[in-house]
Amino acid sequence: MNEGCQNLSDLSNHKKLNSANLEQIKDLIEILVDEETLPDTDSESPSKPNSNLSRSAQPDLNFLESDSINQKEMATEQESKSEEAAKLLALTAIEEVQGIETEKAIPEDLADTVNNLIPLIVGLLEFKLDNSREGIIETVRPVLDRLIAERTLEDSPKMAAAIARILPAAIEDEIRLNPLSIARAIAPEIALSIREQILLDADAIPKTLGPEMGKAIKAQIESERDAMVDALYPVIGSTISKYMVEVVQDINSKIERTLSPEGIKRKFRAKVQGISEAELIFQESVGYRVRAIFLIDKDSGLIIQEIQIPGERHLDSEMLAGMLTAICSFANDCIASGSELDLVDYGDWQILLEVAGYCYLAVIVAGEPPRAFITKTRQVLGKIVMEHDKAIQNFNGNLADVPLGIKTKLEQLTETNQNKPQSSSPILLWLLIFVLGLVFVPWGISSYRARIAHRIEQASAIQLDAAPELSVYRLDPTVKQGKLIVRGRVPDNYLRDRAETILQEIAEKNQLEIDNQIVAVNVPVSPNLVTGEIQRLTNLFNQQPQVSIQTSYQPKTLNINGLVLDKSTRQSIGQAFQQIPGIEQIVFNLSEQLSIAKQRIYFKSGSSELNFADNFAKINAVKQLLQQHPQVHLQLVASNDTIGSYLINYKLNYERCQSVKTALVARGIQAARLINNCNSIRSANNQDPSRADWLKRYVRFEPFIPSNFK
Amino acid sequence: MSTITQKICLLGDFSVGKTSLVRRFIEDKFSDRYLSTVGVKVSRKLVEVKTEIETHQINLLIWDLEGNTKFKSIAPSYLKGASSSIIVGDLSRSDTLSNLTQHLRLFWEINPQGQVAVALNKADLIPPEKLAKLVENYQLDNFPRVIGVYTTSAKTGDRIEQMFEDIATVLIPARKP
Repeated sequence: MNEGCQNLSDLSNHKKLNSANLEQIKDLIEILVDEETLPDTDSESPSKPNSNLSRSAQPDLNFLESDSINQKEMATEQESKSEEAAKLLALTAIEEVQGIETEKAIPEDLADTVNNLIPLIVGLLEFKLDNSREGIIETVRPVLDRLIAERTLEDSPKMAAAIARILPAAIEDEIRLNPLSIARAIAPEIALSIREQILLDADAIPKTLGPEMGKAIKAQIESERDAMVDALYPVIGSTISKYMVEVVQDINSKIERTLSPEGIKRKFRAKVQGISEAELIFQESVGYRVRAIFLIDKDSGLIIQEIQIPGERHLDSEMLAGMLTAICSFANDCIASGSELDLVDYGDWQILLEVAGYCYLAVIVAGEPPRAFITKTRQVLGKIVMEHDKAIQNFNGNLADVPLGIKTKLEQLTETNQNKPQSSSPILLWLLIFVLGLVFVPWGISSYRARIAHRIEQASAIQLDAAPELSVYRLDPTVKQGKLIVRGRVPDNYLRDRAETILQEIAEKNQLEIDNQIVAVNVPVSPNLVTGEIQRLTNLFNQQPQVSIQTSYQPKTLNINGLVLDKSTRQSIGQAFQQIPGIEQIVFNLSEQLSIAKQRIYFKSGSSELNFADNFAKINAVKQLLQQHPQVHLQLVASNDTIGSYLINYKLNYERCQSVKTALVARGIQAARLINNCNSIRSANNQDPSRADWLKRYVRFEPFIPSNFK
Repeated sequence: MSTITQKICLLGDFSVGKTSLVRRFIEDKFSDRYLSTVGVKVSRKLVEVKTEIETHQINLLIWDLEGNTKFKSIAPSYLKGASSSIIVGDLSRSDTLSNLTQHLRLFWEINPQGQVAVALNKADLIPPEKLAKLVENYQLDNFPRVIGVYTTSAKTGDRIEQMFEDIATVLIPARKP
């Protein structure tokens, strides 16, 4: 009803009333009145003044326009007298219209009249609606579309405005009553409209849909989890797998290096901390890095010192410090009074908080920082507080007043991080270094020594090889415990000594002691050569008058048979044969000849007569010897007492020799084997003057073997 | 040219326009939608103050605190370390103006040396002829360390810039001899 009023008042304000409009209004009123009311009006008293009616309607209109609540109140108030009023209204309205018709009114008057009419028509409509709804509908229906169409043609913005107000409600109603048809009507255009809207304002649609996406995805996951998993799998799966491949590679390489110092350190750490080694490896693989360090005034939240790692996104340190401080205060006030917040964890990042008296340290770290790092932050803060507590306490917001020492101390935290991503407690590290030292220092020294030794050995081998006489033998020089040991085999001691001489030089240069372990091996000599040599020596010795030997050689052993008439010759024979290689043992099988040389036959002074009684045994012994060794000849040598003249003695010598010779010949000895050598005077002069004279008068025997008897 | 950082707190009853003052000062924006501040919001603005000798840069860290209500008072720990404060009242609500001294006391209890500016906000809602009279009633200049009383309007931006500049000037550290 209000809308109707509006339209009508628009109509009047426009002052474009023409006769057609007027006709319409008149028709409308007539229709309204004709159906029911008009006959009734006859029965009602028409005596009430018209002017009153119109006056009473006027304030009603004002009410209607100003306040809808009042309108409703009025409606109920009117209910009782509505019928009566309606009749009066109708009459008045017709009169008014007729008045306009009859007079030739100017448009302004016309408008006024219509304005007056509006409340009447409204009242009528209202009444009519209450009483004969169907009738009204029937009446208005044929012209309604025309009315709307014409009005739209006339002033489409107004019409649009008029309809616009009810459109949302209308659509709402339609959706409620017939949702399917609305859906069908709009459906084809939704995609297009969204596209159009995106063209107009690219941000609007995402902004609208954005907040709902989360809920939508959540709902979808709730209703159809598998479909969502399938949809997201290609994206998330590959992202995760890419990340995991990297981590696994890292883990693999760490496991491969299990026996590296790092690996041993990790094993040790796992034992000490009671964490599995796998967890430690994972922690190391994921790693951590420091992004920023702030030293913050605890009360005001002002930054005292900050370090931001270059390469990371720069943080608005002051805002961050302020908010952190606020959060800390809040937590302290509301959650745990007296204790402090020590960790803020968001996603992959952590803010480690270490609180001291007037300040606190906030370290922003990506990943999982190891315990050692946390301990280090504590130590650093401790040092800062200890050294700069006055400056921190008096901090007034001026960064220029902050001591430089603070910054250098804070930088320690980043340095450690950059140089040693997986830092561990220094004690552990030193222990490890010590253990490794125990293993590697001796190893290093020994390997150095081994290298030196090897060089010496090589030099020695080259030197030995350079000596032609030694080059054919395998000699093995080794250096061990300050000694140059040389092993190997050579055929004789000469070569053994030769090798030692060569090595001596090298050993002295390197301050080593020579240990000659070369064995001179007895090489079996060719028996032909040995026997030849033996024969040669045998012949050589047999040329000597006192020697008559035969040699026979069995491998390694030489037998010497025969006669060697004096002791010294016998010794030299032994030595000579010893020199021949291949002879290890010499067996002498020689007759003892020494007694012959001692046999002396003494004579009386001045006599050459042999005293048989005295010398029988001696003569016999000589006889036996000569018989035993047929090749032995005897030279008879006489000696005198030098008493008397030379001539006498010479004669005596001769005669005495002759006597002995005769005696021996008489006993069957060939005279040829007995050579008289008594003409030599010399023998007498050799006498020892202290001797008794009788001892100087004798004949002695010098055995010899003539070469033709050998 | 020296740069120092100072903490400023905004104190006052709820809905007097503390957040709006800060927003006008920092972003030069205003919205009449009321959003209650929860806890604290920290903002920052660099202010340059020129004296005869040199130019100072003062980095103002502004702590916009949750306004206090009958049931919830301001957490004193948020005020710690503040070198100055702005106590805000709403000219259209007389109870918020009478609470100003209470806020002053609280602030000085924690920061005895702190400087204070008093902002009588929402001046745009008060007809000019009434304004002068209202302000007269709340002259707090007799307190030491009150920088001044400012009739501000976050909506129009009236006197806000001036107020922050005055605070920054006061916060310039005394020249060392």
